[in-house]
Amino acid sequence: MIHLDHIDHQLLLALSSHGNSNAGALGRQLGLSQPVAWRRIKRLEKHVITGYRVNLDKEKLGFGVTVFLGIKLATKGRVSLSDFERAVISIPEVQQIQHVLGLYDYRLRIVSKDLSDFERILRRRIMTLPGVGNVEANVLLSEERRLGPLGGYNQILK
Amino acid sequence: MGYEVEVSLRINLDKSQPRAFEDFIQGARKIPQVIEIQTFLGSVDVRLSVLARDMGHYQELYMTQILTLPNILDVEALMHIASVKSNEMLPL
Repeated sequence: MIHLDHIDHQLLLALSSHGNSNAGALGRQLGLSQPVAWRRIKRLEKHVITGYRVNLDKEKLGFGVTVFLGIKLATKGRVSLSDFERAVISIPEVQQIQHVLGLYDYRLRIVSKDLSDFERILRRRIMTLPGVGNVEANVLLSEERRLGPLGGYNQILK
Repeated sequence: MGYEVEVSLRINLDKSQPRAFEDFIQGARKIPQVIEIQTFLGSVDVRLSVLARDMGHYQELYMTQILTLPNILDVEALMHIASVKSNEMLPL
């Protein structure tokens, strides 16, 4: 683990909510010169920032229904796990696949245009996956992402 | 960043309370280790993603912060082992 001081934490916090901020603007906000801020950001990018992502407005792009599926495999063993994973990775509507411990084996996040589009995905893609047993579906109604433990540094920033 | 444990908590709320969702979500927002709050139509009402440093830290969070949230009827935990795919791309 690398050592991070409070300025690093503030940079991470700022970048977590606005990933496209430039070093100059962030530096001004925190009282650093542009080159100093830039060097710090590069160091963070090397060690703790694994990537930046673009948030798209799914609804405006025509993807109105997000469903989470809990999947229990019918048969287990190394082969069926990797067969299942290989097949499920290639489905474009599957945005996230998490291997979990508990009531289910996998948690999938599926994006679809509407309910009939979701039905198509479920029937043609999901139910035909190798080794699928029990499937539970929950339709996403609302979602908020929090900054997580970094948010604790918010007070310092204000 | 020192957070090794991620747990997905699937929570059923006591819907006989008129402000069950609002009060619960308001409480959950105050816990810094909660990184996602989602509400659902289906057998689960709310799902929280919780980060912890290790299992001991998780246990402490669970006992002191999560279980004290209002209107909880039932909690079920899924522990995150691996992320097989996570790109959030739309099938455009």
